[in-house]
Amino acid sequence: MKRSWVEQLMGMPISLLARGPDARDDRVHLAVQQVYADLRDADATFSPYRPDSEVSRLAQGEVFEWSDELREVMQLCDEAEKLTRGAFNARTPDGVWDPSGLVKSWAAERATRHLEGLRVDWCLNAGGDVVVGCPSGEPFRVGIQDPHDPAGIVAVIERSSGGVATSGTAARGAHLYDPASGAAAGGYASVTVAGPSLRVADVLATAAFVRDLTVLSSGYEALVVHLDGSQSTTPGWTNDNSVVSSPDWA
Amino acid sequence: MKRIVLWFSSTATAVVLLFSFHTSTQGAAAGVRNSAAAGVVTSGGTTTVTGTSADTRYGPVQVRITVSGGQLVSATAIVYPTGGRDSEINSYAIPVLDKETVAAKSASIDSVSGATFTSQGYVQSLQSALDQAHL
Repeated sequence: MKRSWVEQLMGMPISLLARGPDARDDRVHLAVQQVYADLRDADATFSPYRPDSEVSRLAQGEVFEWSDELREVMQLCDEAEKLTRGAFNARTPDGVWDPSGLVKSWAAERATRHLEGLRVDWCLNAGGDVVVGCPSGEPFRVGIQDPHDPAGIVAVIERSSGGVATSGTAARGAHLYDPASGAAAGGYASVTVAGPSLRVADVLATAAFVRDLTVLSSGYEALVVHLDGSQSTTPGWTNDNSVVSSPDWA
Repeated sequence: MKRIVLWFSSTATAVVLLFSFHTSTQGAAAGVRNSAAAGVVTSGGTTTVTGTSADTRYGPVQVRITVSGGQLVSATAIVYPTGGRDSEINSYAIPVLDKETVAAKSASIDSVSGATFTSQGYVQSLQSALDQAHL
């Protein structure tokens, strides 16, 4: 039994798939509504496109009482910058703080707290970043999009927990750069990172894309599609669901 | 029935996303084919579902799918804006719709990870739509 939901939030479709005997249970539906409510709240707080969001008010220099969520995301952005040795940076070149590169996956992962304890496997896809939970132990199959052909898939990985995030510029041209050096990203067509946390996987995918795979942390593995279409992976990358603990890549 | 309608709105949304991505400075479309009545028609083992027309900034879009033996056979935009730059958009968007439907089906995937952009959003919407239709 499966059921899925899709809502357009934060400028992207966010879809949630529930699988299991209770997938059509009202409790699951209610929990899913709470997931989306969480995501709407995050959008209201962090959207740089909403003049009344906390991020916009910060950018305008307004003094106000920061929410717990804003403080948490600020701290996570600082941690991400340290973790990636500056390859991830929430501050734009003109000094504006824009945590969009982290908020999406942070909010998605956080919102799945409402699904804990239910008798369903779930798979949340936030604009291409995927987080799954499978109490049944049976994995979901996640296709990795071909950066040279958005309708194609270069690999399929099976995961029963954790996150899968992909960074690339295929459709929009070079919009990412290494904040530490200012150099435009261009070494890879896309980088997909899988690991225990979607938020960390997302940060690492962005950082690896703008710099290289040396930014990866222990427990996170990557699949790279090169500009010529060839692929390579870190030593611990597996397409199946086995739990991998590889030595630190750097 | 409600499920089918939901499915459809997802697919239509997906098409709309594609349209919005290739932003055209042109206003409404020059011409539009007549829309068909929304509904479900079953003939033999084949079910054809026609979605309601969705208004986009370029004009109405309406999508039809065919399901046979529990498998999605085709997804086609039967109504879409025509003329000018929008023709280019359509010639891009509609083949992608068919191609991705097949790709998603053949790989039996539950979800797709990719760089965030509008076509990607479309892929996910389609995948989600597949699940809602229990294909």
